[in-house]
Amino acid sequence: MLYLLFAVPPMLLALYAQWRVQSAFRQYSQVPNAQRLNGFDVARILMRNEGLEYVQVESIPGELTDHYDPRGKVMRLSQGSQAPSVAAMAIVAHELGHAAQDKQDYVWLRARAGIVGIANIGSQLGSILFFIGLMLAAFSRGPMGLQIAWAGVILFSAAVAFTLVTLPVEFNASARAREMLVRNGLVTQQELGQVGSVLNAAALTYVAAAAQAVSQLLYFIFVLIGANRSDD
Amino acid sequence: MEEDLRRRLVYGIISLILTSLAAWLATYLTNKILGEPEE
Repeated sequence: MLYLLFAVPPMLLALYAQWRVQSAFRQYSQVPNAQRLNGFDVARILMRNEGLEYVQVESIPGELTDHYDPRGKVMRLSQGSQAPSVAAMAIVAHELGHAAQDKQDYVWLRARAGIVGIANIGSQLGSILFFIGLMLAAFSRGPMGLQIAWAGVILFSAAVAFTLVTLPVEFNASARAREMLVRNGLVTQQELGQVGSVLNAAALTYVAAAAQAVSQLLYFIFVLIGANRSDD
Repeated sequence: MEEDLRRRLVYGIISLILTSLAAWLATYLTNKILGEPEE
């Protein structure tokens, strides 16, 4: 029952954020930008003027699957981001914001890259260890079960840290995106507001993901503290 | 049984209130940091 309080609000928040980003993307995909530049044109202009010519641009299937890969210095754009729309412009500029972070060795991007490995392990193994530990604690005497569960919590907190470190990375990429678009004269004042709608909606999904992870971690801790007390 | 139902209802209502608060706060902070978008 308690799990509902920890799980339902963040889950609904995540669904709300997903709905917001999809509806903003759909809305502004229908709005052509004033200069009729498609995603590749925007990428070309920004890369040339921002000293990011070395970034490779590739297509990727799916909707909103766009990303920048810092290892290969590749920006991958989905079909929707290749159209001459305001939404495409926002997304391309955002991904190039990550490329600019990478170029400047942005501290949070570096931190995120540093913990991605342990975070991946933590997100998969952390919960499993937690539940195995709880089962052991329930069916056997001795502290081993709870110790395993706490180890799971510590591992899982690496995944939580990852979602938290992602926030400054994504917010900063969106701020850079706006600046780049203005600096290069690619947006009108009205378009800047529309770009903001797409970028803010996208940022909300990362906030929701972080809230979900933090809430799950708090639930794990809450359960284990309760289990410790009942053991005393 | 009735007590259980009442408790579930209270938990459900609290969940919805928390969701609304979280959604408002997340949107407010995002807009504060990134700037107000066009509505």
